[in-house]
Amino acid sequence: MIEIQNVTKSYSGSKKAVDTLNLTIPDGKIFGFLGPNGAGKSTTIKMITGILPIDEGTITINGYDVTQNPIEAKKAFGYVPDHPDMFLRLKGIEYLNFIGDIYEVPKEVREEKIESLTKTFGIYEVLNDPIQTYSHGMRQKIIVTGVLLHEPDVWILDEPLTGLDPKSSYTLKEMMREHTRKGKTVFFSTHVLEVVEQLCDQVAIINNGVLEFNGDMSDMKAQFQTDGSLEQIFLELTNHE
Amino acid sequence: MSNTFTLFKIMMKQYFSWADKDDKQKTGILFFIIAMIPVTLFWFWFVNGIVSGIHPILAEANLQHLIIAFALLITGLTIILTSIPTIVTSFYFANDLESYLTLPVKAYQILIGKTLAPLITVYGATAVIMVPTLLMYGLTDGAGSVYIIFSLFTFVLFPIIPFILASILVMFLMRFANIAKNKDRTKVFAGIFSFAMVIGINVVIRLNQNPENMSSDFAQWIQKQDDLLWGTSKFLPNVYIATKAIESTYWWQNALFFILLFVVTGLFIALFMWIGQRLYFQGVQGISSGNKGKTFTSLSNKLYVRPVYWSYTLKELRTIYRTPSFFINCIVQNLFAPFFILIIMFFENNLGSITEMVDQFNEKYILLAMFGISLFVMGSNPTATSSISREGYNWFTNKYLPIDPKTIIYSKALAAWIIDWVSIAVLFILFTFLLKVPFLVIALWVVLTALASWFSVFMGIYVDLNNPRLNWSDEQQVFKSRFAPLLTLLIQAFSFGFLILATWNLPFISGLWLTTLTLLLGTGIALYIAHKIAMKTTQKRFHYLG
Ligand SMILES: Nc1ncnc2c1ncn2[C@@H]1O[C@H](COP(=O)(O)OP(=O)(O)OP(=O)(O)O)[C@@H](O)[C@H]1O
Ligand SMILES: [Mg+2]
Repeated sequence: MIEIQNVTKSYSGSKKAVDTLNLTIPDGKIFGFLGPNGAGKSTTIKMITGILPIDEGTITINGYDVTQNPIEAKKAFGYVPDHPDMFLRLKGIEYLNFIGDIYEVPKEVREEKIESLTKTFGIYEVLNDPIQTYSHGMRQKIIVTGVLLHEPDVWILDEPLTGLDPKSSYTLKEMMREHTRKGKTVFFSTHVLEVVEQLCDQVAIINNGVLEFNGDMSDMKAQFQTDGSLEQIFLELTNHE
Repeated sequence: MSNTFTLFKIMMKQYFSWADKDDKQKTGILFFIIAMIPVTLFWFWFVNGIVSGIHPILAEANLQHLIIAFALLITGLTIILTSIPTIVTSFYFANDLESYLTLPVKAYQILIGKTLAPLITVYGATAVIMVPTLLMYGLTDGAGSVYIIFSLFTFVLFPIIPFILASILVMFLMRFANIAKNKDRTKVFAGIFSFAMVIGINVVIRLNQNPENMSSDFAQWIQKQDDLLWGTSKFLPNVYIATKAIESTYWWQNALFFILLFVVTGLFIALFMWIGQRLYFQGVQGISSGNKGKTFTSLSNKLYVRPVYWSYTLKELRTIYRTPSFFINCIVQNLFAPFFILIIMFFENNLGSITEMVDQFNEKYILLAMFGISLFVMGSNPTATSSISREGYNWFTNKYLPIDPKTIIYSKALAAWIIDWVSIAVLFILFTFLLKVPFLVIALWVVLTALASWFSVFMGIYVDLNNPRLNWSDEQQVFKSRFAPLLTLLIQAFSFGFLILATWNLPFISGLWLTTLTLLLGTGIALYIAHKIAMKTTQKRFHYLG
């Protein structure tokens, strides 16, 4: 569970990238985070993960405040950033060992998970190559593998499906469903509305740093009194100024 | 044409992106300039010694213009040799290259844009040699306004041809010799090559240390080599023309030769663009960095469970080892620093007399001298001062991973400390086998140095934490024109310089053990302070960086 209370953030300028945001991401649900480019999705996610300092407000993950108890809070989630270009000089297997050490994953668990995950994603053969030589999608897969390796309760994924091939995309979506079935949390941002419609249990739409909508699909249709597609609602919500 | 200029503007901005300087950096620059004044004065004095020594001798045979020819020749050769690594990096390995390749511009346009940055460096090198030479020559020769004007013009035009020759050489090598299948390896070679050059030049200068002695021998030598010199200048055709443009009997001769220089330079530029258009793109494409390893087969013997701090330290060491510019700056340079000291000692006195000195000297002073030298070597190592900056865009990973910032800093410190041992090992060999320092002194020195190295490391991290450069586009920028390493070296020089001087001069600190104890105490206190401020700053700034 992630609780975001009255969170505000502005980069150097006066314009607020995120403005008094209140959002609760409950357990057991796949939570989709929508919004046009520059809406504040990545900014919100970076504050949840501790990458950006919070200007005002509080964020807790499984009850741990991210600024007061950062280490506990960080142990509770796994994060896939929007640009997967990191640890490029490490080999795939070295990166996974590094993650395993940080999250204290026992050796047997590592062996079993790395084998099954990387084989599913089709990156097992390249584990001995530096991540620098990976394609965009392969980099994403190694980071997703790293997240799944330590089985965090909360998954935070910034546009995780862009760049994945259909099979891997399907696998990841299945994994998200599986994870929430166990009563855990999945929070992810995306631009692909079809994915939201088929996958998400709950949706929040943000525009210009302000929350425009928060609820499930039936809420949405009720609120907008329309049988229109999510696309129409999204365009209507984010275009009106 | 206008899109060419836009392209240049963007490229320069990219290259000098760090140049949006804040106040802190401005004071740093001021500081640097002040520090450079004595060095500059010394250099002018040195050149003056040579020029005014040779001039009268050559003037007897009316050959004094050979001084200018010789200076130009040296400048040209220096440009050709030293600009090769810069050209390779700028033309072929800059990280922003890929984004230009997709633009709808011609190869030669990208090429010229990529030329601007290294060309600036070339003018710097030219200025270092030519400005004092031309000035001192002018003063000695009593030259007039024609000399001054044509010197200026020639200064602007002269470096272009040697630079173009170096570029064409590089482009041919990259295209046909295919030395660049692997980007990383080539970068390392280019780096080591330039270090070797610097050391070579150093040796040559040191061989001719005494300017008085040197100038008369040299003048005789030059007189004998008259033909040879002009012969050599055929390799660099513009040396002859440029010399004539600066120093002729009548002003219209100067002007004619200058126009000739202008035309020849123009021809070379045209040639450069023509060759670039043909060779550049094929050379650039297909360069990749990183090595594909063997296909992964067995998982179980690749799994290692390690404590977090050690895992992180290994990550740091691997990144340094595998990133060419980090490897060159942090490790290779580290190996060369002791070599420099050896060269200086070797040519200052000869080695034999130093070994003799070691025999006669009080052990206290030997230990102090060794301690001072190792502090200098460790202080000039940029591993610690780049601890934070090396991360660049990746800095954010340190903020979402559940590792205590303190652990991260300790791991970075440990990595830098381990790398310090590379130079400690070289110094150890130097002291033990070449200078034959007694064993006990060596043992105490190792203990002291190991401790002082921690100080150096924490000080470096403290400085880097306060002013890291995280927004680089090319790894080389982590080390280029930053004041962090210099600042750390100076802090170290001041604090330990005081300690060493005091210990050296205080009469009641005598004998090896008391000296060691004093140094241990001093180093201990310094280390305590450095550690404390580094950790305080970590707490304060860690989450706000990047
Ligand atoms: N490093 C930064 N410095 C200054 N402003 C920034 C920075 N990063 C983001 N912004 C601004 O903050 C606002 C929100 O950006 P954010 O990255 O959160 O958008 P997003 O919703 O993730 O967009 P996208 O769908 O394109 O990923 C934008 O107006 C952007 O210009
Ligand atoms: Mg985003």
